[in-house]
This record gives sequence, C-alpha cells and structure tokens, in this order.
Amino acid sequence: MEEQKVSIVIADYSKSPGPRYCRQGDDSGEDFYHKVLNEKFKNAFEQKLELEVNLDGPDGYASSFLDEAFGNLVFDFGLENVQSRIIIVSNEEPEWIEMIEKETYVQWEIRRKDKQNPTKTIDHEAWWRFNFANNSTERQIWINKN
Amino acid sequence: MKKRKIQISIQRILIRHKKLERLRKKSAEKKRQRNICNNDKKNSFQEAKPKLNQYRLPRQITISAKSDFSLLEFPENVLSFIKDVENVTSVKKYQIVTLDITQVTSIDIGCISVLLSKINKLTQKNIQTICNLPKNNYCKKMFFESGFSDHMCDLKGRKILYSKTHKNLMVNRGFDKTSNQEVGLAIKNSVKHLTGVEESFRPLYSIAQEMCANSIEHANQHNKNWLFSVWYKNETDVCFTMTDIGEGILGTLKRKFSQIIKEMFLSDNKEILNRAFEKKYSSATKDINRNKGLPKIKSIADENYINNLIVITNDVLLDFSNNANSKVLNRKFNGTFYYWELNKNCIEIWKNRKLA
Repeated sequence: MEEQKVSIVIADYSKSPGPRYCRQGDDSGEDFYHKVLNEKFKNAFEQKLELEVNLDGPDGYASSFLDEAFGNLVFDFGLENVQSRIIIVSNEEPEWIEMIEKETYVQWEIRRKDKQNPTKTIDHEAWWRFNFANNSTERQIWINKN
Repeated sequence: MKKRKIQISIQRILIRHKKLERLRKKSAEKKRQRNICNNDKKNSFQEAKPKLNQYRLPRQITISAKSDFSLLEFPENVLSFIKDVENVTSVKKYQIVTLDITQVTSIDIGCISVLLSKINKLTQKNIQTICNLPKNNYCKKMFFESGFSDHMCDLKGRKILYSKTHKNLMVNRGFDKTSNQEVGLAIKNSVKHLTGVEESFRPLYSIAQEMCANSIEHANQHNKNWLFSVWYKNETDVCFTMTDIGEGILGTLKRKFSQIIKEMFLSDNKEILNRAFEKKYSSATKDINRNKGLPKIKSIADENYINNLIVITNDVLLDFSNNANSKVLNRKFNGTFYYWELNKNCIEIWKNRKLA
C-alpha cells in the first residue's frame, strides 16, 4: 500500500531549537523553515501527501521559533493549502498545536493578503512558493535579506 | 541647399559638444576644489586626536554601594547604584570605574546578576571596571560561590582561582545571540539536582528562550547583552535569573494613542506592565503575529510550573505569586530582570497535568 504521508521530526533538526531569526541565534525558526520545512512541504504538496510535523523530543520551544517556521509556510503557500496538508503532532505540549492553528496560521494569512513580507535576516537560497495565478509552485529568491 | 543644411547641423553639434566640454571641466574643477577643502579638514581632525589624548591619564571614579544590597528585598538600593554607574559612564567621562561594595552586608543572586550584566555592558563600551569585594564574610563567599569571580581578573590580569564547595551558580551570558544548548544543559542539570534524573523541563526552556529572545530583539540595537544564571539555593530549590540591560519592557510596547491617553489618567506603570503580560498591547515591531512571549511566560507562572516569578523592569517590580508585593519603584532600571524558582513540586505538576 502506498504511503499517504511524509514526516518531519524537529528533534532530528535540533535538540535545542532557538529564537525567531537566524541573526538572533542558532537553529532558529527562520533557519528551520528554509532548510527543512519549505522543501518538504512543497514535495508533499505536489505529491498530494500529508506532511506530519512532530514537535516532540527537543528541550522545548520559544513561541517565536514555531511562529516564524509555520507562519512563513502560510505566507508562501496560503492558509488553505497548509491546513489541508499539515498535521502537527505534539504529545508533550499540545498547547503549541493550539497556538499554531488558532493564532499563527490566521495571523500570517492576514500578513500574506496584506503583502507584509516576512523578515529575512540572512540571504537564503531560492525557496518554493505557491503561485495562485497559475496554480503551481515556483522557486526563486522571493525576499532579500532585510 | 541640402549640403548647406547638413553643414549647419554639424556646426550646431560641434558647438554643443564644446559647450558640454566646458561645463564638464568647470564641474571637475569645482569637485577638485571641494575635495581639497575636505582633505584639509580631515587632516586637521586626525592630527588633533592623538595630540589631545597623548598625555591624558584615564579618569577614574569610585561608586559605593549601600549595605543592604539585595535586589529582591531592597530593589531601590541596587537600582540606585546601577543608575549612578550609568550616569558617570553615559557621557564617556570616566574610563575606569571602581564599584565599591566593601560595606555590603546583604546580597542575593539578583544583585549579583544585575551587577555582572552592568559590568558586561561597561566592557562593551571599553570602560574598565574594578570591583572591591565585600568585607562581610557571608557576602564575600556568595560572590565567589556564585561564579561572579569567574568573569573577573585580579588587578594583575590573572584569573581568580577559587574552588567552589558547591556547583552553585552557572552563568551563561551573551550579546546578540541566544545560547540554546547551554541554556538547555543548565536546565537539565537543575532538574537532575532536584529529581536525580537528567531530563529537560520544557516550560523552563520556553521561558528562558522567550526572555532571551526578547532581550536580543528589543535591547539597544548596538549594545545587546543578556545574562542567565542558575543558583542552587538548597537541595529542594533552584533559583534562576535572566537579566538584560536595554530599554526595559515598557519601552518596547506599542500602544495606540487612545490607550496612552486613557492610561495617563487611569493606570500606573505597574498596571501597564501587567497588561503587557496579558497581551493587551502589540509589539513594537507592529507585526500582527508577534507578542506571544510575555503571555507565555505568564501562563507558565499561572500554571505553577515555576514559583515566585518576579520581574523588575523600568520603574516596576511585578510579583506574579503575590500581587500585593508588586509596586512602582522610585528608581528606574533601564533593562529587564526576571527571577523565578523551581522545585520538585513544579516538575510533578507539569508531569501530572491533564492533557487536552
């Protein structure tokens, strides 16, 4: 039987996740999004698979780490696409699921519609974004370092 | 006829070229003159600088602390001392500052943390700091046991050697970046101290990260510095502090004009700070998705995953475990200081909480 989902375990990325931006410290939300989440989500999205993100395992999180990582995903792919493909697992701290789904998703969708670009604190390689005009994903450097 | 017309247009082009050439030369000459003037200015300035400093000895000043130097009990005494240090160093008057705490008879982890943060700040500004230790034996011992001396040298520039009787205070400090792994390790060690099992304690990691990230985000753009400390008070309690010297929480709040007007008549800074922890204001960055950190800190304290959370920032002391102790201070602290405690009960509450 064909596997219907792919997964990311954040503990594989870092045991001690850091702050919001790359310039603020190691293993930041911005870094996690650009190195892991963006590419994995794009692949799952194109293959019509679900992406399970497991938050269990690390020492803990700052709200800003999760907000920046999942918020950028909504900004680049849109709320509907993210909600239909992402499953967040957090058995150790279910509070984070509530924060991400009820606050981060909604607030970043507003930012996307208002065209309030996220801050990039270093130069990143090209990353994926959903183009709503032609219903496809495109890869380029969308925002330069602020 | 046609030939004549062509000749006229060629002549016109030549005239225009000559005119442009004249203008270009004139402009180049002006630029050259301007550069000569500027170079003259630069040279005189550069020459003047070494002459001024050549025979000038570093100016020194001594600032003495009061005997009651415990931040949690006598916050005004400590903040007044810190303010004095700020006043004498803010205008770059003094290159050497002596902090005289010889007369101190009561200290705590709070004052040690704030003092060390201030010394870090002075170091960033290239101001040399000399610290005379307390005569009182208990206070002197606490200074050494705390690890304060690990960050200092003696007057000959040698590291101060002192063998601690306890593992006691472990200090992490940073400037413009968080130290996730070190903070995570410090928390694991403190849990091991209380329960015998080396494991992470997620609420504590979260609040340490929130506080540290806030200090980096909002502290003075060019002089960020934070300090995280752990004090093994006894077998059953571990105390933590996070200090940053910067603007303080009240300086980073974004309030609507109508809110400011209303608060001018109805609220003091204590209430405004309380409201900041209840997410009543937006972040200074104005981004809609921000300002989740302070409410997270409050919710962890409310759930009793930590004990006795105290915040001192600007002119407010906020005691989350007993609001009656919260007060507006008569001294202003340009920064934020957090203090909280952890015991075995906090860890059990966390482990036994009902998950949704």
